[in-house]
Amino acid sequence: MSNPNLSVNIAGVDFKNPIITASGCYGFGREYNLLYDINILGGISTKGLTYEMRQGNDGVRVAETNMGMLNCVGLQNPGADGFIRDEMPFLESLNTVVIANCAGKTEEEYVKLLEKIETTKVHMIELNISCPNVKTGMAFGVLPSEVERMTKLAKKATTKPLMIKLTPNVANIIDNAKAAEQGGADAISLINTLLGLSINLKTRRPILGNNFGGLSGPAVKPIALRMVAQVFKNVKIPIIGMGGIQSYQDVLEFMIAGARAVQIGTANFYDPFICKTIVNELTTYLKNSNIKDINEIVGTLQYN
Amino acid sequence: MKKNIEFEVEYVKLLNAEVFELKLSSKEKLPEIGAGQFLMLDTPDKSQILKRPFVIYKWDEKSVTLGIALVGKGTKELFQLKKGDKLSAFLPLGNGWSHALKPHHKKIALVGSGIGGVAIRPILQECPDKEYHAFWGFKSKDCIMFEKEFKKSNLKISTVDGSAGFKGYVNEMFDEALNSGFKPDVILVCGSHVTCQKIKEAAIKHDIECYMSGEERMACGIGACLVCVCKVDVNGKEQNLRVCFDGPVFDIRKVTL
Repeated sequence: MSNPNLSVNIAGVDFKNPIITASGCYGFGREYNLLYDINILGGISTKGLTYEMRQGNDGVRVAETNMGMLNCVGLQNPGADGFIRDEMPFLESLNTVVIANCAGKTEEEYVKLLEKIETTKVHMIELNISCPNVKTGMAFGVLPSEVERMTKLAKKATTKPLMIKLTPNVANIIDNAKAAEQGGADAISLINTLLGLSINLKTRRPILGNNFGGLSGPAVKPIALRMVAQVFKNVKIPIIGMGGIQSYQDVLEFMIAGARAVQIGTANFYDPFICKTIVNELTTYLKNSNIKDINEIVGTLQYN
Repeated sequence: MKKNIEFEVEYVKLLNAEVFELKLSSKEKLPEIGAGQFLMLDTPDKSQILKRPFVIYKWDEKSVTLGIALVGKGTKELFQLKKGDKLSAFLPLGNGWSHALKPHHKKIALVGSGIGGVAIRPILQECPDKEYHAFWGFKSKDCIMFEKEFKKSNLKISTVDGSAGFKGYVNEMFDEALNSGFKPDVILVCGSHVTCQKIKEAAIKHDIECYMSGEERMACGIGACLVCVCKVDVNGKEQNLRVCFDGPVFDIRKVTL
């Protein structure tokens, strides 16, 4: 059998396969490129960027939980100028899709950042209105009305395809996804981390310096998968699914639930070669299952 | 070259009541390891997803030995490993001591407390021909480790309760030496936060180069996740650098402790 098609198109951007690395879990790709050729990836979503450089949060930034981890890095990043000067030349040299994950404290900051990124060769924007670790990051992503407003604001500030990253820490994920679509989003990615807490029994204090942090890893997969399936039924724009993916089977589940592509985050930490493994195993699976085009399986979930 | 290696447990051996040695051997030849580099080790309990960072205490072409303090659930499980048990590790990681040690460093002070010796001992394996002066602090006589390792390094021991060697903290013993004219070309430190703080003060006061091996909770171990940062002065500006990638060895005079 000829090689199956793994390429997917999202908002006019061609990805050679649906495997994208998740923001905050892959830096700007350099560290992993020392381990394997990261051009095998469908895409990279950069570490969350802000207009000004940020040092992130003080104190302990990680706490392990059963089948997961909490983090409160707090968007440590080089800022727009640092990104363009120090990271873009490397990212431009790659043959994979580059998605700039863009965050901010104020509306003005989002707009200024997007205008800067507009001048780069980044292929796509992922609007981060859902980071739980900065004081106001999540506020923009919680109320559907705010999601719609921020999407419109971003849409005006960029001509690049715009993807909105949703937080799961909301009343009804469907309303937020619809709000993003209504605001003019070209795609949706979900889920960001779930807000969590871990306590040190000796000190009776939170382990994390920032008290609460974002939960990620295999523990969150069923929630993420359910949300992807719900959103798929209710919006027309493409979905990039993520949350606890660590195998090609997980990728298939997300795609069956309705994701056109997926992002892989925390699994990179405990298996630095995981994305390479998944790309290879996914290809083998499609061949062995006689699936000619991976797009065939997207949204094929049949409810009981 | 960083590699994921499948290891088999050779032995688990207590060094004192709270610290054990874990020797792991591999069938394949290990990548080249430098003194002060570390590895990320799988945990036996698969519900704990993250690998654990441990400095490589001893090594040869096909084995590594780690010195591990019994502090929590994970280290207890590692202590219960039996000969022949399998687990993988990703190595070698971090910058190691080589970037700190320069040819003009002939007389070297090795200073620290407790289990910190596991990060310092590798220097003796990598650079055996220097003049070493080791100053090591423990809580009490029962806790003393590394006597054999530092035997040829003019080892001086302190205990907090005075049950062996100098009575008091290692920095007090070290201060005494500096005040009586001891002047090393460089000080290499690994120990508790307080030990590092005090030795930093001494290094600045006596104008001696000084490097430390730091420790932080880690997730990826390769510089991507930014959870293990510490504050370091970079060209006059305090920045959050990655202990796993920019360190673990830093110029202590530039680290905010």
